[in-house]
Amino acid sequence: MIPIYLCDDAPGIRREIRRELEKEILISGYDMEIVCDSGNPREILKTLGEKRQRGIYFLDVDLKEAQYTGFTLGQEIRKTDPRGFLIYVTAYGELAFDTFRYKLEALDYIVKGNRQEMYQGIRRCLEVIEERLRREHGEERPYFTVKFMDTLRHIPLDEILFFETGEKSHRIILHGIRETMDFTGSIRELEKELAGRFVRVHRAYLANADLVKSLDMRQKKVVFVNGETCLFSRKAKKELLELLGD
Amino acid sequence: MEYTLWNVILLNIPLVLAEYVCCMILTRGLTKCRPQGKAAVLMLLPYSLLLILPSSVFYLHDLFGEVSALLALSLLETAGWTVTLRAAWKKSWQWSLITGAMVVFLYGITDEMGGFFLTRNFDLKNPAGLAAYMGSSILGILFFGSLVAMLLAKCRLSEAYNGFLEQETSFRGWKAVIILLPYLKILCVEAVNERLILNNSNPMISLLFLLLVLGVLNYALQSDAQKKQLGQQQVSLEQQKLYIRNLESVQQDVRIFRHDFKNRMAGIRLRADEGDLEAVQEFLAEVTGDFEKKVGEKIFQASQMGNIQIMELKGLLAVKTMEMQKRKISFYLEAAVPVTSADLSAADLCRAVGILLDNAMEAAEEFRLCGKHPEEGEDHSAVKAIFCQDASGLSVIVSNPVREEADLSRIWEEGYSTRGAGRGTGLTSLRRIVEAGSNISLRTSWDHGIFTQELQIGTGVNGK
Repeated sequence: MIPIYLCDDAPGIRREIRRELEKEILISGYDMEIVCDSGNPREILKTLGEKRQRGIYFLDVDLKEAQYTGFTLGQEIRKTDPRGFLIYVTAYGELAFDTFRYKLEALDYIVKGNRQEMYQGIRRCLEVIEERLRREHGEERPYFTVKFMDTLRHIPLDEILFFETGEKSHRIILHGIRETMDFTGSIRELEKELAGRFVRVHRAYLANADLVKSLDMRQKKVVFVNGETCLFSRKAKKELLELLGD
Repeated sequence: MEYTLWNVILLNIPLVLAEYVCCMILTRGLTKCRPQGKAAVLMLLPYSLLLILPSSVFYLHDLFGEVSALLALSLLETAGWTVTLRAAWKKSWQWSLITGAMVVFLYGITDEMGGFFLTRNFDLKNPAGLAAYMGSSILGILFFGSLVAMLLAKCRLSEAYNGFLEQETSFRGWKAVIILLPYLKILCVEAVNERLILNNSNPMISLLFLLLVLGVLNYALQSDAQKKQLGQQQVSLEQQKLYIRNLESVQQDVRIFRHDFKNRMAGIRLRADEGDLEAVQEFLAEVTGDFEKKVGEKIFQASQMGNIQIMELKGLLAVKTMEMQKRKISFYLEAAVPVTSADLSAADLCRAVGILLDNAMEAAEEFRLCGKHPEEGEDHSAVKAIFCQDASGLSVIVSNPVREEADLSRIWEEGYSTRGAGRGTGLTSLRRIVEAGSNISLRTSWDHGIFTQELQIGTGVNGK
């Protein structure tokens, strides 16, 4: 049962959202339940603190509350529930949603004011969440979690090509299929943490053996599936050949 | 030839006349004020009497080398010219006193300029030397006086000078200094003369030179600072203009919308009278949506720009917004909370953001040229920039649609670009900025046709 939290200081809007959610859960048979419905953010956080479970949150952007805005409430929720689904409720045109998406990994937003649109938005969100949960359930895909500044990023391990030590000390550059990023860390600790899949092919590189396409013996380079390369040392050559021979 | 009081007085008349004319020219150059003709001519008589008698006596007693005599004469000159100014220019006593001192000081300098062209003193004992002295003095005074007056007029000092005098309360100290200037000059010259001590050094000259350098340097630095300030004002003026233009276009849209709205309102009224609730609901939904699309977005963008409070960054964004408008790339800016500072110099921040935006702009343009559209459900805004400041630091996120997956491994290579050779240098300098800072991180990613660059600038040394 996935808990749903609802926070909006307009009781009318809350009632509408609640009614639609209950209807949808009933009709589509989702494994979800509204556990908290309040205009007070503290109540939401209290219930969340007790449950400690991945949840779905419908939050008003403009909370008439001294301590929390929709954004800071989202940040607070993220501390306990980093993988929950945040959906923001807003009036037309007042939302800088991309900021919410990047900083809070918010899922979507629904617009209050037009009842039909709001219902549609709620249905769409629940569908997307259900779909995502089903997909995640089917796959047991391991993720690499890294702190990029103040946000946690989850990158599927099978999309990471290699790690590289940066020019600054304790700087690691992650080379993925879809992204590159730098973060603070130590390559020796990464080597320990990711032992098995990743091989220290060079003093400066830790490579994902599953994504190696070939070895360029002349230039002493590992070639990855997307054409990217990194150097390998003589010491690592034997291990690499064994791994690739399998 | 033998000098008596009478012939010395007679000989002094042309010299005093020249001095009088010279002072008039200088006053004109300094203040741009004209005297009353009649009073100016009438004042010549008391002025001459005041000066000729004592100077003739001083000459006969060979007192001209004495400092005290020079000071006394200078005092008389100042008094004489002050009274002349008061009578012929009809200004206040304060004005006359300060201007009188200033003009006598300037006259003293022009009088001495002739010294540059002399190798020895005139022999006044023989008539030829006397004639040479009289002629060169009169011509020199008039020539150099005109030169100085021209210089003053050319520098447009009159405005500053008159403004300086009009201020009743401030500059009191400086006004006193000006009144003392003629005497200070005489004392300085006295201190400079004949004091060849300590390896031919002269402390007075050194001091004056130091003061001169200080003054010039101060002036140069100040005018430079002024220029910078002007430049900044120009930038903020440009921003205001952009802002106003935006507001005007909002106003325009509102007007069009209102016109439209009135017509439709009339139509829906009939339906409402008939009791057609559904049509009314539909109308309401449509109208709110329409308004949002046409006007709300612009208002939103203007308020986002208002949240960027780093002036340099704001200027850059204003310029880039204009550029994108010109190139017909839609640009969407988000700054939900005020952006006030970053742990990076404003110049570096602007360079970094500029590179990100330029790249996004070019990619978006190319994307549009190949006629593809973003995937379904994606926002159609081409270039997006998000600024978000919180306790952990400043995040800058710039995204744009791309044609194909950029080769992520290669975009950092020197000079590599998806847009052809020689155009990818921006990213390399961006990388350098990132590596130079202690707490800056960069993330580049590609997802569903959108290329995103995130720049994170942490606060403090421990920002991770």
